[in-house]
Amino acid sequence: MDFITNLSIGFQTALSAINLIYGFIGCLLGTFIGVLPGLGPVATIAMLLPATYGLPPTSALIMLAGIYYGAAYGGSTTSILLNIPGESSSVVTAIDGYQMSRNGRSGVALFAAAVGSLFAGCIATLILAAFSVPLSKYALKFGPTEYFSLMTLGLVSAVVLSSGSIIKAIAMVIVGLLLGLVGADVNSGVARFTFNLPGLYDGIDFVCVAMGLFGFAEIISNLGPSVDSKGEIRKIGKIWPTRTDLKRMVAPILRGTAIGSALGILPGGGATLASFASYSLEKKASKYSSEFGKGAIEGVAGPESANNAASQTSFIPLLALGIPSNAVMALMVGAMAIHNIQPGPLVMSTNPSLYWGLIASMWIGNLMLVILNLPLIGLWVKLLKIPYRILYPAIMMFCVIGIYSLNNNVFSLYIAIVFMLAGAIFRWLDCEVAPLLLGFVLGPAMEENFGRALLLSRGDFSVFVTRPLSAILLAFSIVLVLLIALPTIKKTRSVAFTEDEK
Amino acid sequence: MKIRNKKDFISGLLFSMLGVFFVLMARKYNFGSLREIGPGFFPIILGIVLMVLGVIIVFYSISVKGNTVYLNALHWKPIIVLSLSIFVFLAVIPNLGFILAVFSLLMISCFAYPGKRKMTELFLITVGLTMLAILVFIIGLKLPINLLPVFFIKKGM
Repeated sequence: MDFITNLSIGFQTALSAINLIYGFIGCLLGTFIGVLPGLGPVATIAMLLPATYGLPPTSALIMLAGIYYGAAYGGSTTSILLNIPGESSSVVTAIDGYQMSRNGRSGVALFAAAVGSLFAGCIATLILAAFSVPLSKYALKFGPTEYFSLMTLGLVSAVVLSSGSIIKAIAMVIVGLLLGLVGADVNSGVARFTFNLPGLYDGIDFVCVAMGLFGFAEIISNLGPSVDSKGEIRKIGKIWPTRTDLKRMVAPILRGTAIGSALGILPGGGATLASFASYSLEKKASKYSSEFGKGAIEGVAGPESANNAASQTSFIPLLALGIPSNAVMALMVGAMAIHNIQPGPLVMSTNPSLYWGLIASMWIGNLMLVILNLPLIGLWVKLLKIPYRILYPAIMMFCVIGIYSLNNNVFSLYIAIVFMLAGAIFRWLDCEVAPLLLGFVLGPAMEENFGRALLLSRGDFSVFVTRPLSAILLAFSIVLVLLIALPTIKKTRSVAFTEDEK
Repeated sequence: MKIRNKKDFISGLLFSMLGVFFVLMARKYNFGSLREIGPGFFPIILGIVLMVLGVIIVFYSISVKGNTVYLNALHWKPIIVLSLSIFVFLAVIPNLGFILAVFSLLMISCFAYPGKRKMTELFLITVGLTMLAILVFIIGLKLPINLLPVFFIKKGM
């Protein structure tokens, strides 16, 4: 019964005119950046964070969430039509989607992606609504010891599931944690690592870090020699699938939804991993496995359902536990912080209209996306023709004015330049920046909970393993690290991510 | 000694140096005890871990067998040009106003592009995007920034 009341609160909030408008803007922007290669959800959300200052928090979050799942949705369009994935989560869609295009079946591929995404999005949102309540009730019993272990698990799994070298990813997390400690210490008031700069006293501004590392540094890595080389856009053709197509879509969509929902909940998991997992499963499970790579509809329907489901369920750790599981969720923490909302299990009871409004908006958003994507596909195809040499000055402009407008602050832009340089160097050295951002967001909370746990145990270090829940969480972290060291997993992992590197 | 993986070698050195830096900085802060950790406790522990990780990465990059990884040249041009464009923006905006600041930001950042481009296109991009910026930030979001140079406004009043 509670569930129904909660959802009705949610729909009341989500269906108000202002939230509908911002939800629509979010979905529109998400599709837009999903279609444009070279502009991802992390950079876009970072770019829009300053603009959300003036909005009511619920509308702001609804819009930012729309950008995230909209991008997972729109990314499939370029994969199918151009063989250029708009987002990393659509890399596998390009394999069979583009082949379908070459066979003159672009429309059907787009249809499969849209229907799969809609179904997966609706189910995953239901899972999100159902799971987060018991999980957050449980989380209310967490003490500092459990929180510290939970954050450790979150960071470890983010590292394990990231591409590339694990040890470098761990180092990046630690760099992030250390950067998060810059500023006045909560307990003692000592200003740490501030170099006597007043601008650093309150810590490094999150927006500047995100914008520098993702917004600016992404432009720099995109401005390589191969910029603006594009393929030919195929005709879309007939959209409606045949009966056999429909039959072949059903099972992959169901399996993709299941895999995506499960992997999305994992800290560090998310849309990209889910789509890879779904593709390899479909390839094994399908009767038509010989058609894979030559335009099998299963290879589009499965991964596209999976990535949309995962982008929905990856809100669970954030909303129920307050732990961001990937870079976009870290940005959502930043967005909540702007409005003085501490993400975590308490949001549900202190701010139910925000909580349930956000969830309800996802259903509405998924519907909007289908309308945005299928009938209006021609419009998006035109957008594909915008070359990067026109796009990147626009991104620069929005980022720079956005940061400057925070508080007409010159210092913030200097910080952003520093992080642009850092981001460019880290990318150059193949060090992933997403773990750094997660560490940065969790740094202060980790230190605080660590200190409080030790204070409560009177300096006894063993509390972390003697309290059962904390021990289980830490054991999970260790198992994850050990698992990844196993040779077979190491191999599959490198295969899955080499395609991602492009 | 042959460095097998140059990227890892440099990253490892970088991490170690960062670790040393943070530990040296944090020595000034009270370390505290396990019972009550001070402001120096967490940074020093993390700094030491970072140092050790860096050393391990360096060690792997020279000793363990595996693929040889080369280091491409870092694209300095966009980094320098884009930083410059931001600096100029900051220098221009307080006195010369929003329009000129955005215009110069766009103009300079256009030169970060590696290929050739036509002058007319450059002009259209900068003018068009400047107008878009006025529309979004001044008219839409109503940012309190002077559009025109300060001395123009004074003359007008």
